[in-house]
Amino acid sequence: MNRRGGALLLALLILVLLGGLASLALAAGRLRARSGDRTLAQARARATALSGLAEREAHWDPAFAQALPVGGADALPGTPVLTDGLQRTDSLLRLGASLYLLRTIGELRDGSGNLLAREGLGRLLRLEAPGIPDSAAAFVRGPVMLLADSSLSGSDQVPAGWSASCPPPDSGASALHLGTIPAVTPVVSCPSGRCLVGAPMVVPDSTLSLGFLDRLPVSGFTALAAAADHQVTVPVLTPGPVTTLGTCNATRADNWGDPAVLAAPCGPHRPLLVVGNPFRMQDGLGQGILLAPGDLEFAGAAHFVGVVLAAGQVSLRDQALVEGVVLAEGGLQVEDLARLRRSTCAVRHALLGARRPLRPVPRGFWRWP
Amino acid sequence: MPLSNRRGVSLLEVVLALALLGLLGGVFVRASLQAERNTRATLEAAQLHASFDATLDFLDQDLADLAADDTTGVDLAQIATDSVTWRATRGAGLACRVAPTGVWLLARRWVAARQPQAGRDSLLLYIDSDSTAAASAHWLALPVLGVSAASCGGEPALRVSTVLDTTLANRTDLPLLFPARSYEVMQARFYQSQGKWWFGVRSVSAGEGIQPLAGPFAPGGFRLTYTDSLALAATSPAAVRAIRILLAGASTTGRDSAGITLHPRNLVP
Repeated sequence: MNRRGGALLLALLILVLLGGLASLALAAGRLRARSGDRTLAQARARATALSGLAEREAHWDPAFAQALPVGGADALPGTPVLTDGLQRTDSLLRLGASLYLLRTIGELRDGSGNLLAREGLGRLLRLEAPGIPDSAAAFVRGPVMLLADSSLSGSDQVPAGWSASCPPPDSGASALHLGTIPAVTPVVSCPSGRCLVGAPMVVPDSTLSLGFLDRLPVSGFTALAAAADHQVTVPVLTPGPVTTLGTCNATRADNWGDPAVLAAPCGPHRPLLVVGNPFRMQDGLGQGILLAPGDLEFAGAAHFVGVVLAAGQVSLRDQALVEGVVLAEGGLQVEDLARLRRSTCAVRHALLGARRPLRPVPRGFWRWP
Repeated sequence: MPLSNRRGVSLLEVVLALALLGLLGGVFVRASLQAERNTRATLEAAQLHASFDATLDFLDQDLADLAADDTTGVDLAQIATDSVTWRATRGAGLACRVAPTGVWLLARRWVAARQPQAGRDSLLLYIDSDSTAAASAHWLALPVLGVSAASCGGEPALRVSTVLDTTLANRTDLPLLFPARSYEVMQARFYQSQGKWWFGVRSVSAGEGIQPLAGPFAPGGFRLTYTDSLALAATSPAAVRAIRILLAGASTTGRDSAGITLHPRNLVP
């Protein structure tokens, strides 16, 4: 009896050992499977967050971004509804006038709503602007004529009613940068002798050669024109602010914003506009960036605040007033009582307000749990 | 049953029992040895996989934030097939104030594996401005000279003592929040110790010696390859866009290997 019992015991021991080994292998397998599930869940959450970053960058909402106060953060509207337990939350934090932190959080939950994985990613984005010079009132390659009681001033001006939004004006600068190839001399024929104000009044500038508008840093004329908010097809226009139900109607090509009243609905509206060739702004108000592929004229009581780029000649006559900077390849003519005033603040606001290319900041991709 | 018959049967029984015991004993010993071999192989394989996981997880985490910029340069300092030296991100977030002697990191916007340490870590600060010119924005590398609790507009903050250009710190057109990162220079290396091969890391910034993180591996069982934007072999740290990590080891069951390719997002154009 005892001998048979001994054999049985041995057999049982072997069975227990084999069972233990099988359990060990099973547990190890389950552990690896669970680890694989976790890795897969994390990868899905990460992919969701990555897709959010890519989508928000591709469909950047300039109006939403511009409306955010500096230091303010808000959830971005239009977050898609995902399936299979995936969720995504997108938000935007404005760090500075041109700097944003885009955040997306991807989450994976099981059927009961328990969180399986979460991945937060952030990306620093900066709105770039064309390198528009503002060290003079005008940068002109072609001939320049100042006639009658006109004025071309390099003294930094703050547009009327803008003092709360502008730093103090800088010290005086030159009135005019003039191309040297071909060499041109400004024709100044005004009785007062004070129509050209600057220190120095004229600076020879060899960079103002043929095609210089397309060589502006970041975005040249062609790139800017391609990103324009509106194409103005009529040859003559009297633009002005246009409101619909109390809000600024930015869809209208004749709405060039309201530089006279910054607090008005169209006060912050500074469009990027392309006009035809030739084009005349007859009276009216406007602000932003104005691109002219040919000759451009400001007449009557036309008042424009911002940046003017013209491939042809720019003319100001009657009582027209342009505040900001003019860059012209085909020459500049200011006559009658027209005035062209340098304004660094007007240039800055025009560049900040217009549609600008969005660039990722180097080192700007962050994991942000 | 007669007595003489009972004795004969007993002898046969003993012989049979001995034979049976010998047979069972042999089976048991063989099974035990096999079980021990299986257990040892399973443990070795598990240990090898754990070493693979530890190495790949570490490099995946630490190299994921590799970046470069025009002013502070490239995070990858040195590259070789058996070692890599880089700036490892230890924290990232937003600074809420800068002064000539310090930078205030906003606590609720600071995500860190650990707090910055004086003498060990450095700080990267992104200086932007309200100016629209692209050239006005850049990263700045700063030493961490001390760390203390502070506040920023009533919010908890971490004040990092450093030395900042006075003109820069006093500029009036700086933004409200500054992106910032803290980092230390690390080195990962494949090395031999006591006849075995290990994957180890050390803080170059802190002047540490190499410490094993995983192993042992097979000789030559760790290899890094670096590729550029055209997927060709990168010849300099600045050209690196992807890093391939290959690991190999041996256990009783045979050789095993693992590998991943890292594409640090900040190096993607």
